[in-house]
Amino acid sequence: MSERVRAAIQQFVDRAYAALEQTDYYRVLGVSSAASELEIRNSYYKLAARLHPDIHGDEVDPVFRGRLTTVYSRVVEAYKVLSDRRKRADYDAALAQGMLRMTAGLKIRPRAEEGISDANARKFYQLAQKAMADGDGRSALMNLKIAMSSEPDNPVLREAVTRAEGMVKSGGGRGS
Amino acid sequence: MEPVIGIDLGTTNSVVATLRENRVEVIPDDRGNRLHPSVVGFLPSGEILIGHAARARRHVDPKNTIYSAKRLIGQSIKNPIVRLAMSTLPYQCEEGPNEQPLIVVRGKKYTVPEIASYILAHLKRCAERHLGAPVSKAVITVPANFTDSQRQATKYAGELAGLKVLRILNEPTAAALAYGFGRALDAKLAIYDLGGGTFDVTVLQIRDKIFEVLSTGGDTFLGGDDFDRTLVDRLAAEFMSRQHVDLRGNPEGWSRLTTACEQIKCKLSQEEAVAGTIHDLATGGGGKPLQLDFEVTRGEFEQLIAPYIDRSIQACQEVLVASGLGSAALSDLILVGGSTRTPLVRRRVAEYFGRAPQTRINPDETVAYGAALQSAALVAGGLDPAKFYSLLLDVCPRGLGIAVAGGYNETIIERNTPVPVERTRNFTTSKDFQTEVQIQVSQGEARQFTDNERLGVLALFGIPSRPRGETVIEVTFVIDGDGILNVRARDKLTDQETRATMKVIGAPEREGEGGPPPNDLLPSPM
Repeated sequence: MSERVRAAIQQFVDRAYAALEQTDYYRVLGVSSAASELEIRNSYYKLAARLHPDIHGDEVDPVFRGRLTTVYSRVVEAYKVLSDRRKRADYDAALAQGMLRMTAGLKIRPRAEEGISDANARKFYQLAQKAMADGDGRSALMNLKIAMSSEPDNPVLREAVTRAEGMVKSGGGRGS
Repeated sequence: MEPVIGIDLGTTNSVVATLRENRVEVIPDDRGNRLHPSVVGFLPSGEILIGHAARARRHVDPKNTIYSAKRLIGQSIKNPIVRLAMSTLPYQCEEGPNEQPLIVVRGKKYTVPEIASYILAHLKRCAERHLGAPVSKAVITVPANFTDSQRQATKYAGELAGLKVLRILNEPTAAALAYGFGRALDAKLAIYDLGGGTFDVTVLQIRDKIFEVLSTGGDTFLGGDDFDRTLVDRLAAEFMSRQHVDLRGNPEGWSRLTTACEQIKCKLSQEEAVAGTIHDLATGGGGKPLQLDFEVTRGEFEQLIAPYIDRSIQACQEVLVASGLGSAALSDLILVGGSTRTPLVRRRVAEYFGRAPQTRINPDETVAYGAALQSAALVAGGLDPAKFYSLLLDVCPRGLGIAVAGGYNETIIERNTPVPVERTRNFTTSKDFQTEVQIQVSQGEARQFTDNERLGVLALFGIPSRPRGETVIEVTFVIDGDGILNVRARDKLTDQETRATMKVIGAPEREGEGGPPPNDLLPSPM
């Protein structure tokens, strides 16, 4: 592979990697939400021909390799859903409600929270919010701690910790 | 540039090929044979014979002549199907570390990958002699439905033989590659691959140089050996009723009968009936050699093997449904593996898919041919359109999951997911104050964990003591291009990670004890 081609692919991967958790399956594949099955397959093949790890067998940069694997895995995930008529219909319905991903067992992942960029931090932030809605400050705090292990300086998380701590102090720590 | 080779490591025969000047060459041994028997013979002198030289030793010295080792590779000796296969093999096996079978020959113990490595090293030498250059890199094919441990063990065998294994390639995919080579195709294919010991069926789509596997399935214990065995059983029963001698206790006689039945089977592909005499099956009263006069008609034989073919057709049905295609959408049907020469197989498969099979393909050599193409493509790498390349988008044949509370299996990667792939799921503890979590990994679709094939176990220790549900374990499955699984698990609070410490059942290179089946994980709510 020429240096120019490699650089172009690396740039593409870096950009896709950075935006991955805010990207729906159509955008992952670079097609419109009205794309035909053939368009989806064409786009998948085109991406595979650039991103498939076999194409990059002699790549030595571990950071690039890791990102490539993650981005390519997401391309495959998107393709598996959008190329199956039934799964695509389910996904369209989920997407209309703001869900960006479907994983094994068709579980649906929520859209990114404002201000939290790390995917795991976001998940635990959402759990914490759920726990607080249930009046369970203790679980909320636990989840927020996990979230903060990914993003220790995030102000959204810090603010939530203060709220959860207040809840525990006022006796909302169920099970403790 | 150093030549690279493709190897079809078969249950019964192996084939080695290479791509030279844009043409695939099948490499012969020093006697000109293109099919190399997957047989290793250990002589009393300590000399080791491989391939054709070893095959003849099967009758003379069945206990020290190892064949069909592929049936045992990467398998747990506790697997009932493996035990059944072992009961028909004349050589001695015993349990080694990691539940792997060890083959005992002349008082020495060999792992199955070691036996396989003798065959691979022989093929490597054939290639080096033929090409007049050293060879150190190869693609080795395996049945598409080989498990993770079978793939690992095969790869390990390659390394023992001094080969860098560029890829563990699925056999039907290799056949498709051979079919599509040098033709600008837009086609959908079904590949029915019935070898000596394994059966695969794969549906794939080819467009130009991209080969996309849509679905695959099969049976790792179904093949021509089963056809032989039905004949062996039938003739052994006949011998028993006529001569009152049970051949089961007589490895030499049994081995002679098995070889004769293989030949009868092959003849029945051309002839309507086969009759003859099998000599020296046992020794009767007064040291008189006992023989068996037999006649088998094709009709009889077909009745015996019909249940096996039914099983393969059942798998075809599942795979076709999973591909999302109807048989009318297929553009071609390819038969691979020596056992597809059996007329009943051809008839039933053609009937099921509603079309005549492609006949341009040599069922014995096509897999090695495809492996040679893939080895060249992987070495060429890159995207330089001036060079030949092909890109395989293969899939994992079975779902992969872990054991969760209640004895259930939680799938992490679904079957027919394109590889390489990486998937992460979160799990939580189901008991209070658990400080240790064992993650049991299995392959299969069954809801009950124990109904699936256990692959291994990995452990996380030193988890801070917390009430149940508060520990969150992030489990990541990574399947590489060889279809080999790597599992890592991380305690999200402490960030403690265990990686690649999975004890793989049946694998030779790692040791350890299996723990009790723990039912202590729950899918985490996120």
